Amino acid sequence: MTESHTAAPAVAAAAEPPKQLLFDGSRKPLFWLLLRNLGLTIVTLGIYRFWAKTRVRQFFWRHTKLLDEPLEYLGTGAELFVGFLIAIVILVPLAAIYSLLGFFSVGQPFALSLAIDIVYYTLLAFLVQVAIHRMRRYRLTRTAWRGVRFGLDGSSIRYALISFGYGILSIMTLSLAHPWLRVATMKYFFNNARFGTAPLSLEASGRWLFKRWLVVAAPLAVGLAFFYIVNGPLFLEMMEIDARSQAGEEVGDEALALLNQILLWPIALFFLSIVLSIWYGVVEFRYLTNGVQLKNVGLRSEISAPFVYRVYLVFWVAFLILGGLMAGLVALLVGAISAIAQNTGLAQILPIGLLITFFLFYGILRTLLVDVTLLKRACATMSVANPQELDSVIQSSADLPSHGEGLADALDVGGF
Amino acid sequence: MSDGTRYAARYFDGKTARAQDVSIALTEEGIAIYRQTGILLATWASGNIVLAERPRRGEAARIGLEGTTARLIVEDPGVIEQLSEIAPAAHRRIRANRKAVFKIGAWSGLAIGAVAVIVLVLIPLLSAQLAERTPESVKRRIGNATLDQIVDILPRLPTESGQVKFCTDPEGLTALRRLTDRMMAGAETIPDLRLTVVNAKLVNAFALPGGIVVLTDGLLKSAKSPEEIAGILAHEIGHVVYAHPTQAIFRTTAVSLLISAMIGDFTGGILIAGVAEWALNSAYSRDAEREADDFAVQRLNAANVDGEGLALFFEHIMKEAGESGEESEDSVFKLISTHPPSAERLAFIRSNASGTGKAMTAAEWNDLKWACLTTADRAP
Repeated sequence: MTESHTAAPAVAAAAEPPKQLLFDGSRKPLFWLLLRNLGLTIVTLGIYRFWAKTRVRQFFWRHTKLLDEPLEYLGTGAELFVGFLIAIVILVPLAAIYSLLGFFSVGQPFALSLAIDIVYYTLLAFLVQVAIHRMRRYRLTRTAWRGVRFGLDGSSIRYALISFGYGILSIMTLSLAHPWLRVATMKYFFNNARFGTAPLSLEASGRWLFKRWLVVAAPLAVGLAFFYIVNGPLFLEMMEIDARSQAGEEVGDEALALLNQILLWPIALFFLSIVLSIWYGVVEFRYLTNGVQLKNVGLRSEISAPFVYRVYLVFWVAFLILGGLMAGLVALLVGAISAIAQNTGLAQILPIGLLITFFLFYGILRTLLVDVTLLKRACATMSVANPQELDSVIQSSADLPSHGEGLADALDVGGF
Repeated sequence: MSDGTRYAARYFDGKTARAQDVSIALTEEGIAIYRQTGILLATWASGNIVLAERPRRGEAARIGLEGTTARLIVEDPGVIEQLSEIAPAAHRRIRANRKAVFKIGAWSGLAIGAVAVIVLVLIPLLSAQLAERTPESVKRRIGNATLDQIVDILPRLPTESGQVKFCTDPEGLTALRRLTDRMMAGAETIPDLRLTVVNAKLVNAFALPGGIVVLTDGLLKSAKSPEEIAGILAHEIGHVVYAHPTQAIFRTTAVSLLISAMIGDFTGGILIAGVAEWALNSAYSRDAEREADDFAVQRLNAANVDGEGLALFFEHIMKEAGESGEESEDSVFKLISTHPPSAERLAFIRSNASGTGKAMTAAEWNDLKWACLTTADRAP
C-alpha cells in the first residue's frame, strides 16, 4: 500500500514535467476587475486609470510564475499619477506652442505650416521612443522575483536615437531594414536590462530575421509594384476621366469602377502581408527569446504560429458577433424610440453612445481573448536552461525611478 | 497566542534570489526565522511586518518586511490569523488599499475642481487675453484665410449651385455702410469693420477674426424688412466688438488640450474627445451669443431701430428648425455660426428693445436687396 502511494505521484510527474513558466490567471476575475476599472475610470474623469492599471498589472504579475514562484508587481497608482503630472508639464506647453504657431501660420505660405507640422510630429515621434524606454525601466524596477528586483540601465535618449535612426532607414528602404530596427532596439533593451546585479544579454542578427521578413515584405513590394507600374496606364485613364468631369461631362460610375480596379490588388496584397506579419511576429519572438541570456540561464520558446492565428481568429469572430448583436440592438432601440417619442435628437445620440461603449468593451474583449491566451501559451511553451544559476543572483542597490511612465501614458504607448 | 509553534516557510532574504526552506516562530516581538539546522537566520520586528499581498483562500500567504523585497511564503493559514494579533500593522498595505479608495476619491474631487476652474475661469480669461494681444495683422490674415475657405466650401452645400462670389453693387454696399455708421454712432468702441456680402443662397450671417462681417444674398432676399438685417448686423458686430471669433480659436485649442490631458492621449483622435469638445465649445458659444444679443439690442436702441425685426427673424428660424427637424438644410447656422436662437434669447430681445424707427429708407432697402447684382472674385 505504501508502495503504490509513493509511486503514483512519481508517475504523474514523469508524464507531465512541472512547467518552468506558467500563467495561471483565469478570465472571470479578470473580467470583473476590468469592468470595475472601466466604470471607476469613467466616473472619476479618467483619474482612476493609474490605479486601474496598477491592479491589472498586479493580476498579471501575480499569476506569472517562474519555477513556481510568482512575479511581484511593486508599483503603485500614486507613482503613475505623479509621472502623469510631470508628463503634462512637458506636453501641454509643447502642444500649446504648436497650436499657437499653427494659428500664426494661417494665410502664410503652405511650406511654413508644413515645416511646423513636420517638426512637431517628428518631436512627438521621438518622445514616444523616449517614453518606451522610460516605461520599460519603470516596469522592470517595479518587478521582483524571489525578492530580487529587475532593472534597466542605459539612456532613454540613446534608445530613442537608435530607434529613430533605424526607423528612418526602414521607411527609406520600404521596410526592408525593419529586422535591423527590431534587433537594434531589442538589443539595446536587453543588454541594458538586469535581474538584480546580473546583466541580461541578447544575441541576435538582423540578417537571420531579414530572410523571414522577406515573406512579409514581398507581397507588400508586389502590391506597390502593381500600384505604380502595372496600373500606370489606368492612372492615365483616371486623369482623363477627371479632366472630362472637370469639363462638365457626366462620368457616372466610370471613375469608381476604375478606382476599384486600381486598388483591388494592392489592397489584397497589403492584407496578405498583414496576415503574414503575424507569422513573422511569432518567428521573431521565438528567435529573440532564444537569444536572451542571463549568466548561463537561457530561454527557449516553442510557441507556434498556427496557435496564434487561431487566437486572433477566435477574437475577431467573437468581436464581429458581438458587434453584430450590438448593431442590431441599436437599430431596434432607435426604431422603438423614434416610433414612441418621435424625438430624433435622442435617436441620434444613442448610436454614438453605443459606439463609445463598444470601443471601450473592445479593449476588455481583446485583453481576455488575446492577451491572456497568448501569455498562457507563451509561458507554457517556454523552457529555462540552467535555472539553478538564478539562485546566486544578487540584489542591486541601484536607485529606482521615483515616478512612473507618465510620458508613455500621455502618448498612449503600452497596452496596460 | 504565540505558543512557540514552528511553521514551515520559504524565505527570500531580499539580497539574493536563492530560495531557502526555513521554519518560523511567531513571538510578541515579531517573526524569528530559523534555518532548518536550527540556526537563527533573521528576526523581523512586528512593527515592520507587512502583507505583500491580500491573503487569498487556498493560497500561500506572502509576508514581507517593510521597505525591502524580502519575503516569507507560508502555506499554513494559521499564520495569518496569528499575525493579525502579534503584528496588527501587518495588514497595513491591505488597509492602505482600502484607504486608496478615499485617496482616489480625493484626487478625483480635486481634479474635477481643477477642471471646473480651468473651464469656467482660466480658458475664457486666457482666450480673451490672447485675443486682445493678437496683432491686428494676424487676425486679418486668419479672417481672410477663413473667408476664402468658407467661400470654397459653400458651393458644395445642397442649396448652392455654381461658384460663390463677392457682391460689389456700390449702391447696395453704401446702404449697408450707412446703416452700420448710424448704429455705431456714439458707441464706446468702434471696431475696424469690413462688411462683406457673398452671393450664397443659404440664409446666414457670421463674423470672422479681423473685423470681417459676412452677410449672404440669401439672407438679404429672405428678410422681410430692413430692421431684420439691422438686428442681425448689430448682432454680428457685437461678436466683432467682443473679439469672439478670435477668442473662439484660442478657446477651441485650449479645450482640446485640456481633454487630451484628461483622457491621457496627446496623439488625439478619440471619439469621446470629439463629443466632449463639442459639448464644451457649444456651452461657451452660448455665452458669446448672449453678449452679442445684448450689444445688438443696445445699438438698435441707440439708433432708434425697431428691435422687433431681429425678434421676428429669430422666430422665423426657430419655426423652420422645428418644422423640418434638426436637419434643416437651410439653417447652416449650425455649420458656421454658433448657436441656434432660443425662446430665452427671443424673450430677452422683446423685453429690452425700445427702438421704434426704421432702419433705412425704402430706396436704400431696395439697393441693399440687390447688392449682388454685380459680383467679383475678390472682396471689394
